[in-house]
Amino acid sequence: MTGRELPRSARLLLRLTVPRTARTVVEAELAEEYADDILPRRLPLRARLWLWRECLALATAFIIAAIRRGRSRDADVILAARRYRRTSRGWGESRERDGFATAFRHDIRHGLRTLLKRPAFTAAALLTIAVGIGANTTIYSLLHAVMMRPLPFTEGDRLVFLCEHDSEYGGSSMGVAPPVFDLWQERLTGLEDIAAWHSVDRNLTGEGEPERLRVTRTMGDLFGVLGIAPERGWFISPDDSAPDQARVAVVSHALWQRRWGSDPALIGQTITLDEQIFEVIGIAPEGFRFPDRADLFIPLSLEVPEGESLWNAHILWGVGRLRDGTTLPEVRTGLNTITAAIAAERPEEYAGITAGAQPLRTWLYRDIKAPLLLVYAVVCLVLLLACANTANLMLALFSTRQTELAVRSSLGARRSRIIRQLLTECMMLAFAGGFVGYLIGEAGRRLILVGIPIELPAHLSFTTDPGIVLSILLLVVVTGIIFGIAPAFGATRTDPARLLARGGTASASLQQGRLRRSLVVAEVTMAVIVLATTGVAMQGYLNFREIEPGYEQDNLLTATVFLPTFSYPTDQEKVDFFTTLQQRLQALPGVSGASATTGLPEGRQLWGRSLTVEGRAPEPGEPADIAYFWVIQPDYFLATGTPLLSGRDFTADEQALGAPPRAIVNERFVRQYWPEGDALGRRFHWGGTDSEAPWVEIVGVVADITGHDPTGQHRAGVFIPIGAYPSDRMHLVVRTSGDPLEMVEPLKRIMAAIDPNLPLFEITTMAEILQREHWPILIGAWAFVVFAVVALLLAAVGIYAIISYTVARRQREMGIRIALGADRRAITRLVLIRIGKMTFVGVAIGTTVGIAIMFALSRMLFGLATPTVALPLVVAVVMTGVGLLAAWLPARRARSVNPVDAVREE
Amino acid sequence: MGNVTPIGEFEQLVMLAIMRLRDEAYGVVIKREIEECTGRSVSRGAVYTTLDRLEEKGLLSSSKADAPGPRTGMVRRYFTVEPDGLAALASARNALQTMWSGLEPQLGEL
Repeated sequence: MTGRELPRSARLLLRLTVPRTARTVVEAELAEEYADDILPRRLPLRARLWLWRECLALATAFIIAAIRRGRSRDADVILAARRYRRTSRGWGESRERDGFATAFRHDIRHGLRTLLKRPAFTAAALLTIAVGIGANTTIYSLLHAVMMRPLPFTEGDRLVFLCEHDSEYGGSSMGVAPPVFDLWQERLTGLEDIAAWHSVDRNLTGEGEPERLRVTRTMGDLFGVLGIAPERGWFISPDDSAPDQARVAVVSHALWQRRWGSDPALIGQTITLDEQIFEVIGIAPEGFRFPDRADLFIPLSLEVPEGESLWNAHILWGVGRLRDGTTLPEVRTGLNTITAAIAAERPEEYAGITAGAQPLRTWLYRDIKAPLLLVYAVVCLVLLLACANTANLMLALFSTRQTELAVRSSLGARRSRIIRQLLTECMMLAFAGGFVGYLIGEAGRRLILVGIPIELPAHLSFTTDPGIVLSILLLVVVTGIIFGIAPAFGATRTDPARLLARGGTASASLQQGRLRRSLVVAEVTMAVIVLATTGVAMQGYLNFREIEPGYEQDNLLTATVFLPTFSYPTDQEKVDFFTTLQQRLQALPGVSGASATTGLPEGRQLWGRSLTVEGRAPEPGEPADIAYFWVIQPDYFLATGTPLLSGRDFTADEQALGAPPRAIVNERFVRQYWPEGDALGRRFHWGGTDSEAPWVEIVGVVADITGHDPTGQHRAGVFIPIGAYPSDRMHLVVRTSGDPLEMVEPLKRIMAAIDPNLPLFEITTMAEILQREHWPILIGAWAFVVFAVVALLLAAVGIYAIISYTVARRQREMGIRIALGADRRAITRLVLIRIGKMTFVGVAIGTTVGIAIMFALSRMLFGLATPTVALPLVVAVVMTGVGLLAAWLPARRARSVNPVDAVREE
Repeated sequence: MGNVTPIGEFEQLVMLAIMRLRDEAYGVVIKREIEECTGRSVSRGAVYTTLDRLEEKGLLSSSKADAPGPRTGMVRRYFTVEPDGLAALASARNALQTMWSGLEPQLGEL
């Protein structure tokens, strides 16, 4: 604060409350006194307090003065209007409009006064709406980003995603085999053009530290199909995929900025990916990291080894652009025709495989759309609940103003005019509540963004845009109408003459009573539905946490190693590398077990492979048996802490190339093929019945690792030693005795000693992976709990308000009853039975709907929650309990009514 | 006096304070004057809104002027009581005096 200026907030307050004519002087004099008399004599904090007290007192005085002045002016307006009406007939159009604008201004002023006169009521109503709108805003902004914001591609809604489905795995999506993709390109007519991609990780070496990059390999004109132009240089063209072409790469804007400092001279230079040289030909525009977080784009060229076919290589994801006038079903029909033709030619490989097309948007947001919609539905219920609550409050407010309304109507105000006045008040509340709610929602959105521990896909942006604000405005208007319309009509239904004759204290009309009761029932119903939904979500979450993971999650360090084919061309070199690495890791002090696998528990990548179990021939036409399989090193189960149920682990010899094939299977495998017998010593071979593959002997059985399959439907799984399937990409698992992160440096040193060019990536602990994988479930579960508590509170407050109000209104009746000798306890009982009935109806409806929702949810949620009888019961008991408690507090007041006072007051 | 605006007690206090302060009557000083003379604390807002109201009724007039001395740029609003204000004060005093008169024996012990 310099010189004699008030703090900004104080000035703002005065600016809002003190009329312009008086403001400068008031402000200046206050500042003068503050600076000259108060600041030098008091402690800073006390001086500040003094200033605020003065400011608030000033504000209050000026507001009250404004209201008083307004009121006398209103009286003038009413009188003038009456005179006007008496003297003039047949209002012209312009006058009508003029009249409307004046009336509107008058409504606003009157509403403001009414609301300010009842600060407690206004605050309660405002907060209720704010909570409803706030929750809605948060979730809506997420939903908007997922469902409505245009995709960052040209005419993104014409883009379709193409893939194949395997009925063997419940129709789960899988990539398209390159020859099939070629057929699509050739024969599909409904699409302007199609392209495909395949995501891989590559090591970038050369200048600077080696780095692991996410690379999108493109086939066809991917950029053209998406309608994206390069920021600089050129994009990959379909011809670049030809095997004899020079290798080219397009760098993402983010990588260009991060690694090369946005140097435009990068174009034309070469970079080294997995020992291969690529020429950079272009920079992608900012934010383009298709499909989600790609760093680099290179053409996909397939060199098919002699004698091998690509028909089984389901590695490509397709994207196409719909031709004008073509619909998605037409594309699907086209795909089905092609698939049928392929299946006729290659029945064995193509049994049970279908092709599918869906909007690209649906595919991009496949994981989050359904849960988000569910949460949004719950949030909408909470908003409706808030509306019902506010409606109840408004009804109470309006009926305390019956005298005022009756006077106005007898002075000649039409009912529609009064309703408009009441609705204006509701709207003002709605807008004020909406504004506060928007602030709450913004805070919530930011909290969620901060709370999400993973990197979001580049195409997903959760920013607020005008569209969202507009939608919220619309929502606010709808909210105001919903909670205002019934009370406004209800309150104006009474006959003013009768009301005035009775001195304005007539009890609420029958309709009003019915309206109020239905509102309570509606509130209870919605609260029960929210509670039931939350119950299922929480049950799912708890079940999820209780699943035996099948391994020990603590003190487990993981990291990924990828061996480029150019440095490690032979299987022997790969096996040797991992064997050496394992030996050195195991020798580290503080490491109690080290191994490697192709798929970590909790990891999402699963490899499936068809197999034939000895003595079990599938029926003709039946699809081949398929199992998930993992390549591991010995001691894998020791390192992860997975119990070996019978048999033994692999020996060191068994991981050598060419060793007799051995396998360890999981429990599920045993249950599936030998439900009653022992699996040890049994055999299977990879491929169909006519495959020439050697028999594989089962030497051990391990517990199911549920982390591989969070839905809990353990699938048959096979573990094979690294020598049987030398993989170039393995995840290390290191069991430590202390903090696993302390082993990171020793691990890096060992890697550098073996091969300094190899980056070690995705270094993290199992606990972190778990957290990353489970955060949606965790956040979702807690969001539900928050909404449930809000819903329960809203319902309780609603019931409390209604009962207090009813008790207050019926004080006279109660007084007379007590005077006539009614038992005071009977009075409480009367009130409680009344609310009990309403709660019961609400709980009954809510539970019925809730049970239906629970069944639907348990299927889609996490596949974990099984609806039980106990849950609706618990919900019903909780709701009834809360309802009765909320009613009991005011009901006690009914009991202590003093009959003499009650009758005299009237 | 037929058409005199009736004024309330606080309004009287404010106008009397202005008269006592002569040329030096502005917001804060008026407030202080009332506080010192009556021994009760007065809300700043009440003073300002009363000043506004009295001016609106035509009982006071005000003029803005810079504060004297080194306080450059400080605006003050100085008030003076108008003839109508004087009439209102006189009428209020008369009314009170009439009401008081003849009650001395009863009030003697106070």
